[in-house]
Amino acid sequence: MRMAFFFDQSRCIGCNTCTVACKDYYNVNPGAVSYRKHWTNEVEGSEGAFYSFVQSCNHCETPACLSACAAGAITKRTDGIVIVDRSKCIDLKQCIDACPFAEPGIADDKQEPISKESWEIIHPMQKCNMCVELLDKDEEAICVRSCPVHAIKVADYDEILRTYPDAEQVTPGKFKYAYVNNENDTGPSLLIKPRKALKITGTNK
Amino acid sequence: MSKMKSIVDAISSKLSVSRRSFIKATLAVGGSAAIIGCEKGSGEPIFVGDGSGDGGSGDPTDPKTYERFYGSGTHNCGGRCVSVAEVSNGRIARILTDESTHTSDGTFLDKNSRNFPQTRACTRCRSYKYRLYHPGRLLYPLKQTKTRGDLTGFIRISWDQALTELATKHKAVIDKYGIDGIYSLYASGASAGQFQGASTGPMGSGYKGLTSGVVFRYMGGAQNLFYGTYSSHQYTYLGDNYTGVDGKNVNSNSIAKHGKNIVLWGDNAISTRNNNTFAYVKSMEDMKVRDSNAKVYFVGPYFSDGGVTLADEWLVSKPYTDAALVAGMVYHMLDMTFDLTTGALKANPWLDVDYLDTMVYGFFDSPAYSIDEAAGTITTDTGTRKIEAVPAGRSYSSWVLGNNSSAKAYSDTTTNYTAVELTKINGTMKRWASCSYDITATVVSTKYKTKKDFKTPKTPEWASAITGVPVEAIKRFAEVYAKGGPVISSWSGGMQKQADGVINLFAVQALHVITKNVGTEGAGFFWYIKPSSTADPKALKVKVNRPLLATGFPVANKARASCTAWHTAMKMAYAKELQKNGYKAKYIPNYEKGTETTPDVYWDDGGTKTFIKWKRDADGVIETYTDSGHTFYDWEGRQVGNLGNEKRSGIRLMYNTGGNIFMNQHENSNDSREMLECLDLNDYKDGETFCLMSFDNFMSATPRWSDYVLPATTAWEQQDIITPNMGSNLYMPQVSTPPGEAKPMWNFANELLKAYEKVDSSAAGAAADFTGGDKSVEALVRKEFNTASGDLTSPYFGMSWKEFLKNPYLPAKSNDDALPVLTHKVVMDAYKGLADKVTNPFITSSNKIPTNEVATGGYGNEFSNTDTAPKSAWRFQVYSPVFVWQYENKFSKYHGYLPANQRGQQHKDLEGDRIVLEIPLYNAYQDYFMEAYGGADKIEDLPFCMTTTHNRYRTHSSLAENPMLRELSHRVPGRDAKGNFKPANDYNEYAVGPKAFAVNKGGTYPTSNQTINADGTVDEINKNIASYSEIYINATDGKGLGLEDGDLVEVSNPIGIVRCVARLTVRCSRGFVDLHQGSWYDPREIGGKTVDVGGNANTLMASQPSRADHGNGQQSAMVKVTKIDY
Repeated sequence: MRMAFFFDQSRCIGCNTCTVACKDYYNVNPGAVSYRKHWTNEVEGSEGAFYSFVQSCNHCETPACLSACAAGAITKRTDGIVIVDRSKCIDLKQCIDACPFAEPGIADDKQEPISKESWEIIHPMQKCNMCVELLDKDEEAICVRSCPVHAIKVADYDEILRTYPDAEQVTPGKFKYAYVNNENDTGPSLLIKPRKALKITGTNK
Repeated sequence: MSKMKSIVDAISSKLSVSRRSFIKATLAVGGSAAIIGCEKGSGEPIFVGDGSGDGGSGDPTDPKTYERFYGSGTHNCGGRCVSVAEVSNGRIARILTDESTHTSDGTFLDKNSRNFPQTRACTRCRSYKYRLYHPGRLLYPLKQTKTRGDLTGFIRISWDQALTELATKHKAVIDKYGIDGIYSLYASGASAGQFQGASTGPMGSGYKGLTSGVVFRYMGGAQNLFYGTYSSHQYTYLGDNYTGVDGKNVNSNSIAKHGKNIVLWGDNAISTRNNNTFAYVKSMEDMKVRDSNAKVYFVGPYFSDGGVTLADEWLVSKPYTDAALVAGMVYHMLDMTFDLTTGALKANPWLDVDYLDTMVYGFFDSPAYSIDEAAGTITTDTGTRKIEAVPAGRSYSSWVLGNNSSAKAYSDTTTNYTAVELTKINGTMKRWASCSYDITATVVSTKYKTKKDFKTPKTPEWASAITGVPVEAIKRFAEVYAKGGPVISSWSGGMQKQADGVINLFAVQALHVITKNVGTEGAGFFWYIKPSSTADPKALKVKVNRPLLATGFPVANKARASCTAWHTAMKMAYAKELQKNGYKAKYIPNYEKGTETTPDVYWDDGGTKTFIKWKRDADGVIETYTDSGHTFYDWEGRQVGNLGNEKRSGIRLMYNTGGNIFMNQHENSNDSREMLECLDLNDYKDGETFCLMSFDNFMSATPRWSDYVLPATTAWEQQDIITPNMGSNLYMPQVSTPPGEAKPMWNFANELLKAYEKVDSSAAGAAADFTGGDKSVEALVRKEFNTASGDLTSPYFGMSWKEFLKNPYLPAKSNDDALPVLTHKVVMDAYKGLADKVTNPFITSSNKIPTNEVATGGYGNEFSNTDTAPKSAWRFQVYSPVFVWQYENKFSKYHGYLPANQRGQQHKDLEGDRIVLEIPLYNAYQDYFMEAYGGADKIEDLPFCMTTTHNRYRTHSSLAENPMLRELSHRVPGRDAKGNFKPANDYNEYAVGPKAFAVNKGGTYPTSNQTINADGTVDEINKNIASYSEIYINATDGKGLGLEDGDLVEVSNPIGIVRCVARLTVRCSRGFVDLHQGSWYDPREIGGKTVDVGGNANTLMASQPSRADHGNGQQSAMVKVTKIDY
């Protein structure tokens, strides 16, 4: 079992509904921390493209964050979901540097004005836990339920590949722009149906 | 607690002084409602809200249980999706969305259907928590006591005082100006609800039926002053009927089943109409499964999300130049149809000349002729339907071919009945001739580029130089339309908000007509693509019984100005007062004097002259009289001789219930501000002085410049019936506690009526009649529900009220096979199947394309003497005499009080030539800006064309305050340590206003964005907080200006200056910038100049209306961009 995200880039309209729905659901106030991040990657040239792209924690096969965390705050479940226990975070920040996708987040005081008594520090790391508490109740993840164009799925990796044989595994070679922090190949559990190339006629450069 | 204290200290040290106590208070009460709104000491609190956006713990293991309720947003986004609030103790913790799985009759909702009927909410509705609990929410009624716009002049008053003064004012205005002095400004900030809506609700603009505007009908009436809206003025004006192209009938099934070539002309619907997005995406997927050669093109300067998602090819063009692109394409089609040296028809021509002769009026020159209406026979008999000549050199093809005069006579190609008969009428008439449109000046001396180009052949090379689209692509694109199979064009409305938008629309419609892409499956010109579904018929239908209204309240005979000209009309009415108070007279109309170099407006008149007190009968209908064979509307004060002595009503009392049009969404905010500041302050006992009241949630720009500001509730804080776009009527309960003394519209209306009863005895009983005696909306809904719950056939059968509230929503049913009925398909099919094109007439009273005639113009303003008005040729028209006739006569019936030479719209540009021609020619955009900015030299240093597309993170100016959305559309200047852009960071800092200030006790509070100082500087402590609108600029252009992504810039032109943050991108063409409309106007005086740090696009928009319709050309500006040190 390897729980994974499927992202249909050919459908994504770049609306940010999934990122906002996620923030709203987990009461992540406006601010730098966002469990999902969207941007449109621009590739110049006549056969260029604009690749609408969104990712959250990719729940990697070999999570760099997990091995980097000396506090043991990050664990990987048998179904592959990588979760952070915020009460164990002690501000080492090793996960921040380790993650290729810059997904672990640490809020500031404005975004997170309330600190929980159970936390060791004021703003422990937080990230997407794949809505594990919903999945465990057989409910769908918030991002999946929110997407107006049905471009997101959360399912077993192999099942996704069976349903979408043309989905591609994210690697530093194929989706370089996903690797915003470093290019360590951690086996992200993210499969993408890519957008086709675009012909650009005229002058945008 | 030590940890808690350290947070407080940490935050306090980082935040501006005004926010420190706020955060402390928030922490002290554990993140729920803070107490700042009640803080005493520094003065009486005025409009600070009562808490941060924090909705409570988001910890999923939190044992708290939530109740779920259905609802939506109230903003006018075109979406109206379903959201579901999770509520605890009168506070919304989270917002989810429609997760319906079945319709009420048990039909499964299939996610693979392109018409999947779930209406999944987008960021706007899902972030509503941060709107409801925003610390800037208005709490109390306020009254301006100094100058409009001066925040220190506001004093807190009671609701009783506000209602009494408004009612008194209303009566005073009615007594002095009648209903011509009262207007409820159409507004879209609260447009979803039937009971609580603005334009759609009880205090709406009073013309849409019983619900809307009903309150004013109890109060002596109110005007309906606009024709058109800011959203669709130009499209409404041109409509489908000048050319015969019908723009309505397309849906996702049309695309999936018949789509071949889809052309998105700047289509942005995927950003604005959220619940059509899946229909767009899936129908084009289905189309490509059906036909792997089907293609999606995008044309435009700004590659919208629609292009990013759907396009196979982007033709990068310059803005406002669509008519030039079409002309270049049509030139190429003509070149592939005729030998342009000899005029001979080529083998395998691209254009079907027989079709053009028979079915398209004005593509070629033609003599005047008549048709026998029954038989369709072409005659010269003047007693039949007389069709005007298209004089030599005046047809669309003559303009396209410029000075080309190689055409052969009709007699050379008589392969169709029309050509045969026209030859009999004029044996030497040629299909085209050297372009012969008039130029009063000479080609050399005219200041208008358009006129200089009349005789220039509009070759692909000519078009390429104007549009930026390569010649090869123009030719290839011409082939797509002429020979590539059916073409569907979708444009989503942007084109019709440009200065020459009506003409650009006309041109693209003409392209469809010329290439037969009309009345055919898989072809057509459409606003946007819709899903196909059927609303559940079992929804509750809630009506309000109002016996008083049954006696009839008039809705006819409105004096109307365009949604742009009404500002000018006000200046006309208040001219003396404005001048006395220092208003610089530049936009007070002086139609006779206007020249290029004197700033008086010359664009006569768009209905400006209709704002006088009309003579009305007991029902309010304007009376008429006849003079010299014309019927005119009658006016108060008419003298012997039938001229003059009119009373200029302007607008004396304006209700602005949930909108931001006046200051923010109307063009030229600096001028609107100057006007409002130069009008005498309201005296509520006096029917003469102007009064603007705003009923709103926030101190956005229009409330700020109002005389009264009354706090309103919004969605989730009030009971209402809303209509989701694909669903059916949905009752939305109040689930969240409103702030301060905010009231629902329903209650405000009820109480205003009660106050009015006290000042006007004839209105006795109005309030009780209106609400049924203080009945709540819930009570009215319950009544209907009780009937439904006892009805075996109702999906609500057997439900309790509580059960109903949990599950009131009835999703629609998808229709995957339903194709819309295509207008003109029957006629087009008949033509295509016509065996003998030569012998008999095809166009008859039963085979016709009915286009506009004066009698069916639809405005109700027509001048009585319509005998000379041009008739429809019963063919598609790419040459329209009635288009010109309407321009000249549209308002003549209102102009009886004026000397004869001032009646009608003066039809002269600055050189005395006509402004509107019969054909969809390309009007060089530089001509508009030369006029609008006061001289050709004024545009010389403005290298960028700007548009103001809608973005998806607010709706017009609604939600511009929402921090969850601001971080997606605004930026902090500069870049972070990694060189990345910095999203907006003014959560709990923007639109907050002075925390609390003493009433009229000194101190200045010039703004509601305290993170930016009055002089535009930003304190060090706010450098990472102050946030600005993003402006898209082409990356190469930006680098050429020495800009880096994220730099603070000033964008300026002769109309205004705004500050924005530059976003360098290759999603724009060169020479183009895009500033999304809707940010809140926030002017500062910086170095002797007024600079809008709010980034409102309308600060840069000229007052001059768009061509032909006098509408809002708000997607058009020329600007320069300058880096500002930060």
